[in-house]
Amino acid sequence: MNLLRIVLTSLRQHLFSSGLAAMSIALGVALLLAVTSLREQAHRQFTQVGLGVDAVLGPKGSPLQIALNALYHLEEMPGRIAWTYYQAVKANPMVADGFAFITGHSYAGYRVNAVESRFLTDFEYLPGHRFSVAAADGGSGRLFSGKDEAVAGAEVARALGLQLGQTFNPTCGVTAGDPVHVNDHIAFVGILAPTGTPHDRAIYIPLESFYTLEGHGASVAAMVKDLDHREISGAYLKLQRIRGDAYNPGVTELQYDINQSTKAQLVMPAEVMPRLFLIIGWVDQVLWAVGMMVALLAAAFLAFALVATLRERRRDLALLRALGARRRTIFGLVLAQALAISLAGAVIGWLLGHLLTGIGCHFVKAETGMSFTTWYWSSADFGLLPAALVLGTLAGLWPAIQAYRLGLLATLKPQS
Amino acid sequence: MHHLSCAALLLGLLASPANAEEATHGHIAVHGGCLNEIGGCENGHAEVKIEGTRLRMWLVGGGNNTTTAMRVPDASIALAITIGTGQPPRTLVLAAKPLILAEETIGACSYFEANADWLAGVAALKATGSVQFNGKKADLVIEWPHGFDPDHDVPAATPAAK
Repeated sequence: MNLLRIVLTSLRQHLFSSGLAAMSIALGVALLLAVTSLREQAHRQFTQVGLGVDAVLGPKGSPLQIALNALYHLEEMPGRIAWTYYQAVKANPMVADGFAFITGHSYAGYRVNAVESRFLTDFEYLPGHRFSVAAADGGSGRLFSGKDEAVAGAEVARALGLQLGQTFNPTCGVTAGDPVHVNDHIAFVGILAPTGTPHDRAIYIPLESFYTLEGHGASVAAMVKDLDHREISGAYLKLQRIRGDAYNPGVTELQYDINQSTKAQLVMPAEVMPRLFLIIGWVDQVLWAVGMMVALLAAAFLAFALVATLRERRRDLALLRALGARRRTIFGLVLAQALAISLAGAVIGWLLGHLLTGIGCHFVKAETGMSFTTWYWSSADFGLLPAALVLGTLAGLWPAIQAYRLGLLATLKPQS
Repeated sequence: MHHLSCAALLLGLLASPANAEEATHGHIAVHGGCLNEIGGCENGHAEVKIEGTRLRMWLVGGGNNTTTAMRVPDASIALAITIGTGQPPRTLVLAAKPLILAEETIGACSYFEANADWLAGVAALKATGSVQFNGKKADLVIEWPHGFDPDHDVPAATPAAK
């Protein structure tokens, strides 16, 4: 009987305790893997992807609040900026393009944003990717062309079961109980193809439609034509970030100039969003700590399970010794058993971890519109398997040493 | 992970050029220039940068407010510039260039600049002048590229020409 068969037979004989030890290791690995994967994906999405926006021109207020409102359809914009100021910024040579928007309306829990029509045709949410309503891309209908028309993001359309031609009354606000524009019936004429970004979680109406919604008052209605007094919530900006092959220092000067004004500020998502992780970073640290605790407890449980198994198998191991097996063979047998349990736990944990990530992705998409992937390869994918094996080895050392020290005569002595 | 971040920060700090810290005296120089105190560190600074033949100067706040523009009523600022030992000072008049997006105007302006061919290739200079800063006439001393910080600087001789 070779070493592997002895290990497998022993595992089979103690299936319940071995299985429990493997499952506890699997739980620790799964938790650590899911937390790491979601954290790394979130960090990447929030800080690197940038959703096609180099900068957000917004009113004075919290930069984080502005970034969350403009890019992730969360929070509220702290004020408005003048259209004329936006035009002055857009005329700056550092600005490659700009797209004005107005936030502050909603429908069925989803934001209704008024945007320049160019936003839906010219804006690249990812390099080389523009919005589409083409059926081949997964969209339907057409882009808006009239005042009482809207297009819905893919996630909104899916969640609300929207049909082309269906109408809605926008709510003047983003919280429950805010007044509804009951006399403004806006029809969905298009559904955007999925982008995998928070843009999927908004409904878009023409910028001019916002000013003419009933109840906004004559002064706001006049902003359709009176550009000198027109106000917007902000604008997405594309900047000339690179000059030659290097970062363009003009971007810093543009941000400095705008931030000195009393009217507006330039928010760089890449600068602001990492602050969010500083604020909420403790959450994943707590989850990580819980995962580590589970893994350590699993290792302790494995050690105790092996010691208990050893007690039952003392005579078997002594017999093996009597048949010529060396002390180090016995040591290796117990250690191999620990490694086998750890390996099984790590593999099950890896699968379970990705399953947990998949469930997490579903909730993240529902809450933020961001597409995370179940099979994202995080640093945990590469590190946890060897870590679990090392932990298993350490856990197996104590029972292995006990087995190594097993006295042959004392163990085989007949028991009365 | 935390240790890695600390290590990266440490490496970053170690890798920073020593003169960057010297030129900003621990403050933030938004435009990458050197900071020169105006009437004390807490009162304000002139951030100075030379790009080819252009000398640029931003008047900014004191203490930790070096990212905030300080507007002054001066339409121009005359500087007496010494480049090398024994060289006679040259006069350079910086004109107010209002930052349009900051809603500045001449008379309430924080940015000044001037062009002079002889600035090209200058390795170091010392300049003196005056400015109406925080409602009072203040002496302006500029030491480029290290910055003027009388509280921390060791008195140095007039910079040598390149």
